[in-house]
Amino acid sequence: MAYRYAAGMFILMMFTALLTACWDKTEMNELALVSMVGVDIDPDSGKKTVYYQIINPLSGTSARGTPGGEQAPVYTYEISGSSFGEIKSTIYKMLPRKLFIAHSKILLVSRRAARQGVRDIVNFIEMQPNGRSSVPMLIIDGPISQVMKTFTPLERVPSDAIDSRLKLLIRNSLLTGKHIKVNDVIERMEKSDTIVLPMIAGTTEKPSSNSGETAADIDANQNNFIIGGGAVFRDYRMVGKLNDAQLVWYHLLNGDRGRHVRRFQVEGKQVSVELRLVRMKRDVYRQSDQPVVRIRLDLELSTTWANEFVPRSRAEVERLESNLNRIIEDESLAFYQMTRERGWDLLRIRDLLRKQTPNHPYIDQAAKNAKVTIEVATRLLRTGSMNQPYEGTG
Amino acid sequence: MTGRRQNQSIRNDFFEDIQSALGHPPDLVCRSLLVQEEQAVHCVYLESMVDKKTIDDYILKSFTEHTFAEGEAPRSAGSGFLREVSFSDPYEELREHAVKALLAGHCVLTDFARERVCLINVTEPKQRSIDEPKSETTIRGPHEGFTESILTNVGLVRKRIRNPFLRFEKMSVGSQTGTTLLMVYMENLAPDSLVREVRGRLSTIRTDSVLESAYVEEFIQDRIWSPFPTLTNTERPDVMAAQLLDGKVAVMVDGTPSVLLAPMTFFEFFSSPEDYYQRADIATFIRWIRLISLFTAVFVPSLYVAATTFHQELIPTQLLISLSAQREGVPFPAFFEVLLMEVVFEIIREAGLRMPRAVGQALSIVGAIVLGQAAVEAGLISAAIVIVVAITGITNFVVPVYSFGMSQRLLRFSFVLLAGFMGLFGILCGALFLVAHLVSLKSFGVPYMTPASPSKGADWKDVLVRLPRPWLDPNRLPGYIRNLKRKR
Repeated sequence: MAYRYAAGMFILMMFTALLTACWDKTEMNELALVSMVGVDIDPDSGKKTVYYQIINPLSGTSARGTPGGEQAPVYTYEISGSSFGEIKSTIYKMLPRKLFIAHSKILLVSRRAARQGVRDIVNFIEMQPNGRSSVPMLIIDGPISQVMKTFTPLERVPSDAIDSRLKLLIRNSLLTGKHIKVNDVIERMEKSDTIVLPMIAGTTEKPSSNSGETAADIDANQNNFIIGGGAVFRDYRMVGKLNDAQLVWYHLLNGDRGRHVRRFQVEGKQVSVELRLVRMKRDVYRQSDQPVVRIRLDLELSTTWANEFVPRSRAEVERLESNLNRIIEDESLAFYQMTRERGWDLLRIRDLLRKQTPNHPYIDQAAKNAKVTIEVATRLLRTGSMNQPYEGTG
Repeated sequence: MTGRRQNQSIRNDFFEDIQSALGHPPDLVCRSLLVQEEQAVHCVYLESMVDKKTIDDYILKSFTEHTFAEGEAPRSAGSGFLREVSFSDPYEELREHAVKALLAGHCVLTDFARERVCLINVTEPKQRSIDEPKSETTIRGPHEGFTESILTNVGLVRKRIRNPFLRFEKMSVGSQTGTTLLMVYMENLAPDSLVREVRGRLSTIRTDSVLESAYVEEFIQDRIWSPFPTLTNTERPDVMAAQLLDGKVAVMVDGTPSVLLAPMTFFEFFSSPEDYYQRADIATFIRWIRLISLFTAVFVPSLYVAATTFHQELIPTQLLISLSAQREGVPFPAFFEVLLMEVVFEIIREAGLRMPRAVGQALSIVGAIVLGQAAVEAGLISAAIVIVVAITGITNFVVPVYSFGMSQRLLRFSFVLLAGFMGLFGILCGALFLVAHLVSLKSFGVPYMTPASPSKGADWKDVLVRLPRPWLDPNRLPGYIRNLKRKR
């Protein structure tokens, strides 16, 4: 029996020779932990520049590190080359540790690189042996070095600051959605769909390069960056930009479920209403050979944050609901018209038609000619704890 | 006159032979007294083994106070503990009997005039009192433990099982020690095949000495090359009684409080007697804790090595940063660090066992503070390693059976080596080998992984979950015991 085991173990050991094992071993203190990657491409020279933001384990970000920010939480390494492959080798001219991007949280792409196309960039991320394509991709509205060299207050590692802000925005607004990762970009682009990625911009032209100075400054708006607007992508290229108001309709019509508070003008009165998508139904039917896409949105409303007007009777609630139904329908249709005029299929009508008629010969044309109807059904479910705001009428 | 001289000569030869057979021991006493005119009775005993008061009060006094008719035995000595050896036996045999009896704590009473030798059991019971076993303490439940005296142990079992079907089969093993073994089982519950198997294995033991039940265990266990024990041992009579009532067989060895129990399955090592002395839900929770502890004790160091040296992408980012910070400036690879600390921990543990109690405590403090804290401060090892080693060390003691804990220690080192060479792949290979080994293992014909493999749904009622007692059939034996009985 013992011989049988020994023979089995020997055979198994022989197989291990085929595996990367001992020589694949890397101690943790030999790794450069990349937290964020930034990519820029000069449109004139075609020179590629990659920024690697490396975590400094000995900063205040870890238990062993010195608290109080005596050391920078991250170091940004900037390396240029004529191709991404070249950069992979030349990075070690400056970087003393093995690049480890498996824990990278954010991919930033400069606006000018996005305008030229991000196909090479996503391929570069995908081809890395320990790379991950499940990281959010953001477009920088402004110089890339400004964002890559900004220390963020409160969350000391900038990638954590962006990641955390994105998560909060997804939950508490309709300014960004869940489908902003590199693999979402690849999936949508390969299906010739359109996608909107969040944009980020620095708040200071010349950010401080000293983390201690940033930490000591009370003004968090200085030396920071802000997420706002959306970059529209088609065929791996940035083709336009959406503002925050348009992003709300984009995310709502794409089924994102964040709670978003927006002020509406109803019967001459201003009212702030929190919207939340409960259900979205999209179907297609034909009306005299023209495809008609019907989108039905069931929204939950809340006037918790309304301090201008609070409906006090059932009649007022019903009137508010029907008015909001109409306003939201109009505004979302206007948004659709805008995207249609620019040739952006942001409502993914092409994808919907393709699912229904996979062998349609002129699917692009059919998507352009499709009629879109939007029905909105709102229900005011929460009115908040105050039924009569203080009005100061004596 | 000639007869007297002849008797005198036999007597001298007899005593000299006994003395030389025992190597002229200092505690050998020979007392002679005249019973009638010329009739001398000689009482020989080993002073260190007998109760002298019994000899004085019941044996010698009876000779001095009474005279006996021809052929009459000293009645007051009590016929119950008197064994007479006839002079008609061959002399060699007579001497051998006498030597054996002396070593067993008998006194040898010779009456050469009447040509007879009496062997009287006057053993002084030299044994410690019944204490709670130190390695198997419980909060609730009986606190009695076995002692080194096999008769006391038998009494402790009989106290719990007052049943005529309780059987004790006596054997003697060890050509030099002549140790008494008792095979104990319930005749109405234990399967015949199991009893035959245990009896058969015990009868094949060929050894010069048996000083502890572990000697016997090594002879009768199913497989030598396995880290897992196929028998368990206990010092608790309540545990032994419970196991006998489950149809198992026990082997008691004279001179040791550890009693062997067979057969044993893998999952039975996770149950403790205390499980049955408290509520079912609490017992179930604690069993799960023990199971988790097993995996922690065996796999945590190896997973740490694999994750930190091969698969850093598996570690959450914040934890990775923290671990990375701890490793800054540490000169050794994580694999070597773990191996070093595990070996040091084993050394401290072993030293702690051998040290006198007062020094042992100081040693553990030195081990913990100096080797842990100071090594981290000096940058020789990372703090996480100390945590890993401490966790594995503590969880190792959670399993109720000490011998099973020992096997976990061996496995832990094997997995650390595999993880150091091949990462998670190595751990997986090792785990597969371990599973293959476990399912191929048998304990006295019972598959070791019962009831998981072969799977028996009905037998899970007292394995990972202990169902409340009213839900369990009081007459139901474990599934594998029922199987053995059915095969008969």
